[in-house]
Amino acid sequence: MRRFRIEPSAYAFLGTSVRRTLLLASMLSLLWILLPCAYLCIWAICGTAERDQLGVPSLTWFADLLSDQDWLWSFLVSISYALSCAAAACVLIALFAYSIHFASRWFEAASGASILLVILSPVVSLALSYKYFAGVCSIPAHWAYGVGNTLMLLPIAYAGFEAAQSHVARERLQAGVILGASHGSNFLYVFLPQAWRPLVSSYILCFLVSLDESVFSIMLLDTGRVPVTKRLWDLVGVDSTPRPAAAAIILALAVLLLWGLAAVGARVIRHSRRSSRRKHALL
Amino acid sequence: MKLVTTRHLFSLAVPLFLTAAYLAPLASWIHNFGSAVDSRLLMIAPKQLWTTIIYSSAATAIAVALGGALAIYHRFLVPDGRRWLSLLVCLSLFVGFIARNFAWLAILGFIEEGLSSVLGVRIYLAYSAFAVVLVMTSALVPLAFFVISNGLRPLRDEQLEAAQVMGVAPHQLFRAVIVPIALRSASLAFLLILAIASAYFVTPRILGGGKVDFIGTTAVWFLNHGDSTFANQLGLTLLVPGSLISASLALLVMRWRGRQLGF
Repeated sequence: MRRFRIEPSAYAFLGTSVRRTLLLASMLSLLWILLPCAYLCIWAICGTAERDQLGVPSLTWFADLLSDQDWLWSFLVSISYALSCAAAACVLIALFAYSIHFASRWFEAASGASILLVILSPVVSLALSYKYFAGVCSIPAHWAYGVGNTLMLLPIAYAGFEAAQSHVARERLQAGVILGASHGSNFLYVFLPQAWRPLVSSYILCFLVSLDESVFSIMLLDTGRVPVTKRLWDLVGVDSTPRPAAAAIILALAVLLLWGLAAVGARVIRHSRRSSRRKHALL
Repeated sequence: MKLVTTRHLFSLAVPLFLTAAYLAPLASWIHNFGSAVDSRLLMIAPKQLWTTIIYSSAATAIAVALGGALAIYHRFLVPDGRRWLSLLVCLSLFVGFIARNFAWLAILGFIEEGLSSVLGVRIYLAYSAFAVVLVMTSALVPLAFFVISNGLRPLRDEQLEAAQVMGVAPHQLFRAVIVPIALRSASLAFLLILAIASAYFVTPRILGGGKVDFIGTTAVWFLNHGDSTFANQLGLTLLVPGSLISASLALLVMRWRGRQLGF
């Protein structure tokens, strides 16, 4: 609890009554958000085949899912779609974020608003239009799902980048072009090193959102190797066992594992760069 | 002279993707289903549109209020606390939305049992409008938190110190300095989340028990039962209020961006 204390200077800014009200509302919000997560953990470990009955803790439901080929494919499909769609959305937004440094202000404002329009169009309507369009143009359902997922991630990646545009110095980009660098090399060697932090945070956010995408998967994908969200939807009203909880926990653990691996990888790269720099300095 | 340079390709990447992946499917869909109107649409759509707007607005308003309070509290936490709070909020996104709906169903069942054993009267919480709003709010609070936290970035300690030096009392400082800055992003969060909430169909399907049907839920029902034409027409009905919200948000963003860019 001591971690969640307010900065000493803020005591004077907020006053006792405002501070207490904020604390109460924040605790209520956190409880509201975290209660289902806590219950999913308990349900996955202590749940029984009987509805809402808890029993002896065991890992039976995890073993049950991990021994099922279809579920294993679903985990793999969910993670690979999330990785690739988040990457596609971030690449598109990185190209856009670079180009607006050389474009007119109207182009910047209009393009930004049009990207945000996507998230505001009801996703049910968009998914229905995709289902119709994929049928008319004979586009495979999995391709349509991938494109739709990327489309929905575009505004999220944009919001992440937009908040961090101050990381990129426009003068440096323009200096690069004036000094004769092509836009391709300027993007790779001047823009990306400055923008990698917001790019990584946008990627993480997009990955998490994509992993949870359910509307397109429910409407577009029928059979075969489907993401976890579609498989969970198919269990609604059919299965009252703790399978959904176990699936959610396995997916969350897989994401945490990937996150950990990425963090270790980033640390190794940073360490090797630092040591090679030190080596060069000694030489 | 080269007509299309790398820069042009870079700037055209997103507009081309939006045209191919957003405008083309939407335009062909509207063209195909927009002209004919099914007679059932007039019976079903207005009531369900009303239900969708009312319940999603209620869930959005509560989520923005709670997310806003959480974001303001987060702004004044010590740096370590800020990191932990963000992580806790993120944690809820890890386990997936559909699974959280399943969990809420069970939690509400337990609360129902607890209340009935204490009060001696059976109170139904699951499969009701209350359950739909409660669970939608729980899913929307993290979104509101992230948007409003982002909007609170311009709030600097120097501003607050200046107001304090000028003799402003803490509750006035909260009302006159913090709330106006938070309100700007809260209004953005409200429109953004309302647009997302109005398209929810998972929660009304799992927790509504057939009593609270959003347009999305009914569209999916008709789609699953082979009447895809009517499902598409229902989806089209949802696009109209959705577009109105979109247009107002786009105007808000354009105005905000315009002010930032100095138009």
